[in-house]
Amino acid sequence: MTRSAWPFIGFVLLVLLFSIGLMLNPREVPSPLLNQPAPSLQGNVLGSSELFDGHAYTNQVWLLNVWASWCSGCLSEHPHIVAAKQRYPDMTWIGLNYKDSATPAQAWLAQHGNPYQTVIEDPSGRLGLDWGILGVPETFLIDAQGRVRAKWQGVISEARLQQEIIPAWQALNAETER
Amino acid sequence: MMRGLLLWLCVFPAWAVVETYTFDTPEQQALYHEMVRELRCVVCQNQNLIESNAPIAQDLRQQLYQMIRYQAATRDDIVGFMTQRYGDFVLYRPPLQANSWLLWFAPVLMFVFGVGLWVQFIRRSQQQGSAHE
Repeated sequence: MTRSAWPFIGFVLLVLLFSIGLMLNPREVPSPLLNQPAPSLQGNVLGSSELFDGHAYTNQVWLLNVWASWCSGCLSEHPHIVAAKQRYPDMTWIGLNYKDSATPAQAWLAQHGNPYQTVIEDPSGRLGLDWGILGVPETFLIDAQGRVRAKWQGVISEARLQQEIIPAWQALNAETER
Repeated sequence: MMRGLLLWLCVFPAWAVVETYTFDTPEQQALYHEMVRELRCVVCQNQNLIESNAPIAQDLRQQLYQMIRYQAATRDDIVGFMTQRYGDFVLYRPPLQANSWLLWFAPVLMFVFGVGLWVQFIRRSQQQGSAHE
């Protein structure tokens, strides 16, 4: 190989490196919570003064869906969650009502269906901060040992639900039963 | 005068959105101002906390204020709190660790490589020069 080919090879390598970099999605920030114990989830049950403690769900696999009545993405993913709950009644969905207030949130659930076992209020977004929420909607999968095992940022599409969320939930259930 | 005014116009919008917090000591205030510049707004990725008017940046500023004023948080406490929730991503100065040493030392490596190439080039042209004589 001639000596003059080296700058060209270097150039091609740089172009490759940059094109790989450009194809990455900078918005996909990996959650530092993955495989870590889930942050505490203590707050009022939506529209009541009853206190909820997320630790009550240790020993079972559950999903935390962060939503708000003002969030349009939540509205578009909601029918998929409702349908999933109908198909798999033993799927435990907990709602975290992020930066919302009880009246519109309850009206929203009454209108669009309520797949959640419990909904917890987070009017100030402080619980969301502990969970590293970037925006609504977001969904977490928590295992029976209370660790966060997966996180989905943004709207849950039907494809995402069928191809990612339900299989991950089933795999965790199988892991728990063993 | 005109230049000063233009500069002011450029700078002003970034400050217009930011709430003012009062602190008990100048040290607390200094820490707050250091941290809002060093922490990245997690949704508007090329802004730090003080530049951003995203609701989440506002929440994080408030959190920062409360930690500094009422919990006597140190710089390490704050960095720990933020990275535990949002990862190293929130830091504009990533920590030096196994997965970031290349990031930290790449400039030095490139510099050494460049100097090497330059020295080689000089030597070769000197040899050619002496061959011509």
